[in-house]
Amino acid sequence: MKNFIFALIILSLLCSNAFSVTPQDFNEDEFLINFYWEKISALPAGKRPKTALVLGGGGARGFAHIGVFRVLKEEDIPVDLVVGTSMGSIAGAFYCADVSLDKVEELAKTINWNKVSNFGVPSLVEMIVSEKLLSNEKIEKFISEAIGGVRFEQLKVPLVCVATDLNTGERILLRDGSVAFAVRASSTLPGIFKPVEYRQRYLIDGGLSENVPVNVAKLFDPDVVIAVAVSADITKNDTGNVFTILMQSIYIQGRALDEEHLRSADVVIRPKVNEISAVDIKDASKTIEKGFVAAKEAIKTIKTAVINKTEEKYLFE
Amino acid sequence: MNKPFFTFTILILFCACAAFAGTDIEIYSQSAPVKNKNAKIDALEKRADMLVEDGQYLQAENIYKELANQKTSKKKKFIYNIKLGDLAELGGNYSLSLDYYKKAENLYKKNIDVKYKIGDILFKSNLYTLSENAFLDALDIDKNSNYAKMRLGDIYFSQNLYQKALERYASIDAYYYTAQIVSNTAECYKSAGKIDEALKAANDFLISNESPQIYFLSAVLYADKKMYKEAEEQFLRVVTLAPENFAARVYLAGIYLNDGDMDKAQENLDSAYKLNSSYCAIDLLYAQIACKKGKLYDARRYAHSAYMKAKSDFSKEQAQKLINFLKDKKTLKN
Repeated sequence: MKNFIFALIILSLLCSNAFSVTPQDFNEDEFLINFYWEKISALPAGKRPKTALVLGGGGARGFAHIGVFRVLKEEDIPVDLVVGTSMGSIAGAFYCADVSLDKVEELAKTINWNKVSNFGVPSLVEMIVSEKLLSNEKIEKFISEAIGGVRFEQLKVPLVCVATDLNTGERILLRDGSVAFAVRASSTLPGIFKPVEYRQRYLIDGGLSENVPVNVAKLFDPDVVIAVAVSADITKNDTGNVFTILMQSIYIQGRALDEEHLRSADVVIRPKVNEISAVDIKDASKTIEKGFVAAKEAIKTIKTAVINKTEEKYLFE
Repeated sequence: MNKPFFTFTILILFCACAAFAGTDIEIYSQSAPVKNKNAKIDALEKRADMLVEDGQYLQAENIYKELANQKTSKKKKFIYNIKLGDLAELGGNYSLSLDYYKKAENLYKKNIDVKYKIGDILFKSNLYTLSENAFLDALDIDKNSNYAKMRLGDIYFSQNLYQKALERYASIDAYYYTAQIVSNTAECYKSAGKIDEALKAANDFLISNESPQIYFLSAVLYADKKMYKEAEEQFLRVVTLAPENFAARVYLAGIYLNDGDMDKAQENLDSAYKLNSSYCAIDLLYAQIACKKGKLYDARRYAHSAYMKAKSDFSKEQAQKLINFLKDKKTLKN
């Protein structure tokens, strides 16, 4: 009889797990991330980790940054600093000036080369014949009108635009004065547009010194660096004429540097835009969507990075 | 004859009868000889059906194969091929199942049910394009087929083609909506950042359906929008309908904790713990409550327990952070 009772007890212990209810729909990491994120959202700027958003250059591929902004806004990811190169500086200007994303998307979808430069066949011919570079003054006017002519100190979020000194090759950080001017300098394509004169320097596209300016962001001591890389797949580029060869040479140089810089970022968002040409501004919607998708996929990583950099006392007290 | 002997005799007779009694199938097959071919076929069909019910699939398959090979009507051949396909699917042999369904399809090209079966088998085999074609063929036969629309939605959903999935799900007659369709629809909206639309889809379904799954979905969507009162209401409905729902209990504990209601948080954690004690998150939340109440020893105990239970790098890291935070403390303010 004793053996029987003993066997019954053993059996019931063995079977107890068989009757325990398995959790339904419970993703533990997702729950914990959201739980701690809720605490972090309530923290004032001085107590939560400082986050820098780095926007890489890439011409028309940079429309993807707009998709990224949408996700950051939806998910309430606070950004304390934006650093942008070339198209990244253009996008950054709109973000930091707090221009509505609907308006930014609309501008992106309706933009054409005429609005931002005198880039076109007749002027290209003139350039080849007379060796006279094109002007991108129009982009300064376009940006100024779109963001309300603001200066850096008037921006809602601090912005740094990266340009390159044509003569010395130095990386030049623009963070005071006219935002539109800085953006123009940052996106002046060498060999196509005239360099922009600034304090006795001649500035060209920041992509030549730091296309994904993670190192620039690090100068400002952020806790978390989120980098958005909109690089090209250079192996698929056309190299059939002077212009495309010129572009390819810039891509080759930039790619290795980009990857090295990206290694220092805490989070890298890579929209699948490699096959979009830098000058193809017609398909902005699709490019924006790619940025949105890539940012959505990176949200968990972003929140995890911020949570991990948050001081314990703000999470546990 | 005395009583024990009589009882023993009855018992022996009973056991003997039971031992020699035939099964239903044996009885049926040993009945009077069938008079004509059709009756014989009917008898074999019935036998095969009974074997299927009994789980004797191999024997049933042999009978259907024998029937399919005989000279019989087109309709009968169609049915046999369908049944053989069903049996092959039950056995996990999708390729063979597809062959049988294709044979059936060749007999009746406009039969919608066989299109469904082909589509389903291809979907199970992750052959999405072929499956899509099968269901599109079904829609050609019946453009109002809710099943075909649903499966097309599922195919696109499985490939993260959320916009296309949404279009198909939206075309289904709402009367035929299931919790799974609603859940997928909400996921499609959510992936596009359209939380309001996702919520509407869930809440519209809940008007006439008490579904714990969709109440849970609705609750999580409200929490995403930081509408915690509404989220709490929905989670409470989940636990009323499905008291064993672990996740709802944990989410409720999280809401109450962040709201400062330690007692309700504790109550829900206790319920969750009874359902499943293996999750690190529960111990982390217990530790959080202990911290709020100034119970340093308990907080440390839960933090260490959470670390031991942590399944991912992230949860391990949070447990370690908590251990570090509590390590040198002498007291906690409450």
